[in-house]
Amino acid sequence: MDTLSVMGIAFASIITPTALMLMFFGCVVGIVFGAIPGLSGMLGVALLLPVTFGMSEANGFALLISVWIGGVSGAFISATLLGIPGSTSSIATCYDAYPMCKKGQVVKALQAGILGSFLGTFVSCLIATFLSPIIARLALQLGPWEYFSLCACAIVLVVGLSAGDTARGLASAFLGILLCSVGFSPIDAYKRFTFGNYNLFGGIDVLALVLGMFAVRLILTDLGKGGIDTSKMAQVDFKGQGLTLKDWKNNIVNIVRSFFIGLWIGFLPGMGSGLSNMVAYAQAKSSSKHPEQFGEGIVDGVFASEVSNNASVGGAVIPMVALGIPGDSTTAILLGGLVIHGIEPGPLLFDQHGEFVYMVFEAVLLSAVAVLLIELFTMRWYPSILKIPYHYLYPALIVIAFVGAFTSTNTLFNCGMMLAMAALAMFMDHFKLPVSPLLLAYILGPMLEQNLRKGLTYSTEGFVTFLTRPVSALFLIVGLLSVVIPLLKKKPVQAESE
Amino acid sequence: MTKFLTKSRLCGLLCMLLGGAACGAAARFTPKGLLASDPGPGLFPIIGGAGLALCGLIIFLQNSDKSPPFASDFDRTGLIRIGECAVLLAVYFAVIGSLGFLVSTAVLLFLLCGLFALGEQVAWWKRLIFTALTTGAVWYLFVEVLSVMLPRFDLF
Repeated sequence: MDTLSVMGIAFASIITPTALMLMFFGCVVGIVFGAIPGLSGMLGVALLLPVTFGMSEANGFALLISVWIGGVSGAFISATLLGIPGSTSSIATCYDAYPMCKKGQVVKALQAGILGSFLGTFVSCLIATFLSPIIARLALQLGPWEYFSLCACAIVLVVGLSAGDTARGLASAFLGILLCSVGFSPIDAYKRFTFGNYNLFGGIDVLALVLGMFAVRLILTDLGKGGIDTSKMAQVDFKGQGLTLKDWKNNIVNIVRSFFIGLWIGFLPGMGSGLSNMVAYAQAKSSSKHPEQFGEGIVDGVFASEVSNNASVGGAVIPMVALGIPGDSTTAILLGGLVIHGIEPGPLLFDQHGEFVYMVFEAVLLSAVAVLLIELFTMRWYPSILKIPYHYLYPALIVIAFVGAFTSTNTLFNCGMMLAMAALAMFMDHFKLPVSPLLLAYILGPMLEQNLRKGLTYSTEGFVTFLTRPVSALFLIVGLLSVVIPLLKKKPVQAESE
Repeated sequence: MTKFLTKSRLCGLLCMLLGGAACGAAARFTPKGLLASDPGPGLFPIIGGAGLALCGLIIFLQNSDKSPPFASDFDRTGLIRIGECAVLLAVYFAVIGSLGFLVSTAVLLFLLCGLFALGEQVAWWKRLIFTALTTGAVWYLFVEVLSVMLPRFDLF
């Protein structure tokens, strides 16, 4: 049977009224879960997985995939309106979308988020549909040296965001490396920096870190500054305030670049939207003609983050269906669902369950369209969240952050860790140490260490191998240049000012 | 002394101390790995600690921020408000396990609502309604819908 016929059969299986209704429901649940800090699309998928046991494969996976897509897209809503990322995938969205809202550009920020999300998901999935088998073979060529160098390069790129003070950015990244060293080490499970506390054996929970460093810190900072004036943000006139043709024209290169960054990072096992948004943002800033406007509220930053984190979806689908390797934590749960439904993931999936594979791709495409429509139709209600008085909104967010941290590990210890991370972030703010490099180093730390140790173990030449393998060397050179070039650019400016 | 100890220098010193301490602790991590070429579990934290200490030294020497080490971006009132909120959150964290989610959250929300009003008067009955609705909604969503085992108050 040819590919088009298989695609047609797959499409017929998910175009049924039941599957469409489940997908609509899944998209709404995903958007809500993505928008609430502490929850995420991944949690939604995990919670709904048992519900799908009694469903057919097509209906079950249509539901799970729509929750996933809704969750990745919905995370931008709280990042835009409250400056609190719904999940790690929208951390970089906060940097510019929230300042845009503060300047009264709520509609433009929301539209950039919605359309950027759609473009990222839809096009990446289209590419995944046709190129999965080819790209999967390419991925098998990469070894631990390339993965280590890629992670190191990504961290250094984000350090480049603090171009004003590279030493502080690097200090923050090294602090992140120390934080992720807490708990069992990879490979040999050696206990490090646990101080005998079993709550630390698994390391510091990433959700406690994100909620503490973003949600609680932001709320305390706003409280210290006497609150923020949300009246300008809440009074939104939707007419003539959206994206202009000029915005699109100015961002074509940015969107394409961010898209490929997201697609590639999503495609690499273990990495996903949590990484791609920050790397794409760093690249957008360093390539921009006006980098000084980043962080002050510029639509380029929103496009970079949202296109890339959603492009990671298509990227993550490729190793999931072609190799049976999860691209991120949500695809890991989806793979578990495949096994439960009696489908063995792996390279033979295309041959044995071709219809199912294309059904997955088509479900992603349909979900992306559904999310786009839902978000466009409901967008005008989002700013109403800002009409909630400050003294009601922030206490409620603090409680949700507490519950979110508790939910992640089911321990109160995690709530304490969230408060400790908030204190650390406030402390870093005091000393002007940027938080983003710490967060990225923390997220990538385990993969960085694992691949460093594997690379050194497999090789007889030690560290030299990281430089002699071409792709690995290329990543390291890109990372080095991203630090050196801003420093070289800075010198003449200083000389002029002197 | 106060002129010597600027914000940058204090930051650099703290980074050096923390980095040095982490290196010292990580150097004692054994074994050295399953295979002879495996550097073992100590290498990564040593890289982190050494890197932090080195960056601390650079920050110390650059001394780019010469403001007093404890000069804050917040005014006195702002610092007091942050302190009050931090104390409330610490107490909430300390009592939630024994008092349970419902009681401790209701009290926290009532008090935070007053604190975040920033001097503006919010009627007590409005604060009560907000407290009851928010606590109830969060409890319903997480405990009843999502089956999360939030701490409960058990008398016996």
